[in-house]
Amino acid sequence: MKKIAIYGKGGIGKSTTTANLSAAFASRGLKVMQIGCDPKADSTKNLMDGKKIPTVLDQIRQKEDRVSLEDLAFPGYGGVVCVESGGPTPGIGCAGRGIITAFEKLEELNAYEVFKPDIVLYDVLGDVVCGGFAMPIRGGYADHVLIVTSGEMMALFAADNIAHAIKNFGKRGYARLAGYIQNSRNVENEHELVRKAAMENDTEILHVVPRDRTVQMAENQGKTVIEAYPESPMAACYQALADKVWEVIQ
Amino acid sequence: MAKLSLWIPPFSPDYSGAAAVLFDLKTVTAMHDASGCTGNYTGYDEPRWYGSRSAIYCSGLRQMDAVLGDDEKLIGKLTAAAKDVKPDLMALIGSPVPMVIGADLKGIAVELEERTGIPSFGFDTTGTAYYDKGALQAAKALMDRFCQKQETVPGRINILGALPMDFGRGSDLEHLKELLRSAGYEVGLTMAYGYTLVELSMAASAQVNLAVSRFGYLMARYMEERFGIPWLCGFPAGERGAEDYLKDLEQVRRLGNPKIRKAFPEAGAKAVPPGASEGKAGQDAWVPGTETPREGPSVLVIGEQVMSNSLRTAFGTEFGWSQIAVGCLYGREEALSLPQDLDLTEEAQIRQAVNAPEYDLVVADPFLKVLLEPEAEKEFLAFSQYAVSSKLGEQDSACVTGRHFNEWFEERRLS
Repeated sequence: MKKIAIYGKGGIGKSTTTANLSAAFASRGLKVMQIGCDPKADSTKNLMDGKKIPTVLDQIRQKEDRVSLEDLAFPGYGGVVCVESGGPTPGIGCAGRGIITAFEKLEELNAYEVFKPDIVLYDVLGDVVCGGFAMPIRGGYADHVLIVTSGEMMALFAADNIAHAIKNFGKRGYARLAGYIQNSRNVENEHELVRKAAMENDTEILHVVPRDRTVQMAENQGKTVIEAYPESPMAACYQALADKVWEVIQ
Repeated sequence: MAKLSLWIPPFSPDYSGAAAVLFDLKTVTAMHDASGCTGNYTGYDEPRWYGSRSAIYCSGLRQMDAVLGDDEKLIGKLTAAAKDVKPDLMALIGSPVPMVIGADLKGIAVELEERTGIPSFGFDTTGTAYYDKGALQAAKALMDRFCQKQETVPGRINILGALPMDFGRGSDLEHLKELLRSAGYEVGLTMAYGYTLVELSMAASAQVNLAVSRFGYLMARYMEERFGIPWLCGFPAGERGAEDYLKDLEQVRRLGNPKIRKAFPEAGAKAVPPGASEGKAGQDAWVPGTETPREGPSVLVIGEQVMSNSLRTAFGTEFGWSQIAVGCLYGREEALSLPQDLDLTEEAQIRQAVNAPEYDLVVADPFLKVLLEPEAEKEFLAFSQYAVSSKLGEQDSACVTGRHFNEWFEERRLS
């Protein structure tokens, strides 16, 4: 089982990238599990025909100890097992602790043993702002981290913070940074900016995803590009990203 | 608010269970807390603490430590303690605050071990579970680290699940060891009451594991899975009960099949205790409140599940009583239960159970007596449990191994 955490600045396209990666892996016959780690709980929406699924925390709140795996995991496009950790109402509670609780519940219910995924993708909210959001890169969870970034300054700044967090955990034998994914925003000299930022963190750009309206068109239908436009150049691009990711995590 | 406890204190929590498992070993144990949890453990959950040289530390967690998550500060304190104490092990034990802030205790332990070279552990205890859960976490980690599969030594028996929360100052454990030795067995590991790292490393050489508590039962199953060691679950309470227990132990040793002692007689067995009418001693079919023919009073034994089962068995073997239900305070393990047994997860349920008209006699920690309504006409037999009343209930502590059960019961009934 390969486990990958995908981080990046809020709004940079992590969920879009992750869902397309999941769909690309699933299209090759791999068993994929995607876990959204964001109180907004919209990571897996495009694998579920645009519908949001009940979150782990919502189900724990409602059913307490009676929660079962069927309440938390839902089959999406290509058989991808979709899970959303969820979180508190904005402005109250603790979202970081929410992620820990959701992960503990999945472990308690033996989710990984039951679904036996070939690959698990954790789609993690924004920055590593506290212990909870570092959970996916801790021991036993992800083995590799991918950072999604554009050439915009704030996205690169967030990527840098995430890379530092991973380095801090290095002594504990946790996940390693596998590389950057450039999700282009058509910033001037974008590729060079991202390449330089990656180099500063001793890593590289794994793949460049161009800005393309196909992505928006697919999302408007509640789908990934892989599902909605499988023959499109953008689908080929995400498939190429999947090839590269598969290669670096071996 | 349904889970609010108005009359009884919280029972021993998971961090105390983890610390108790480490107590006998030369460990620098640090509870990551502001000091309340450390005080709770050393003051109320650990009778061995006073006068001991065990190195239990409090990390002294303060607001800014929680906000900033300064792991380096914690590692520094522990490294300094290691220089002083020169321990065999180091351990970080979690409490509610580290749980909320998501402190990475296992990761910190990895760094600590790298710097000091001393085997180090981090336990994600939270203070929101009971002691057996923390004890299991610690015991498994130690077993994984220090015990490998090895050749069986015939006649060697481990005692698993021995904690002060269940056995107070440990007299019953000494009696159990005497009983085993007098029957020709060798006692190997007693986890976690009077044991060493060497004994732990040889644990897989035992021929049978005795599970004397729910924690012991879960540990015995774990060791069965890892090392293939069969187990017997129960405690030899009562004079005849102890004889039967040794017979069961011999059977497990000979046949290699695990066995749970939870009723008397076993379903389908013909054994009838002295004074009991034949055919009336079986308990499996009894439903509280029904008119099933009965022997003796109907009894509710409340406490830790394995010891409560053992008292039930003893009431059967010694007095022929057959209508006995067990109320589990710290969790109900299905495999250890009879149909009439109760999972008592909150004070309101305990109150309801002790006042239920179908029971004539309640056997429970003295602290639970306060829940009895004045109009509920029933006998209450105090049997203290350290996890409930700590040292405040010690006047009602009792030895129940073999004939000690009979003596205790006669003495209490007469008084």
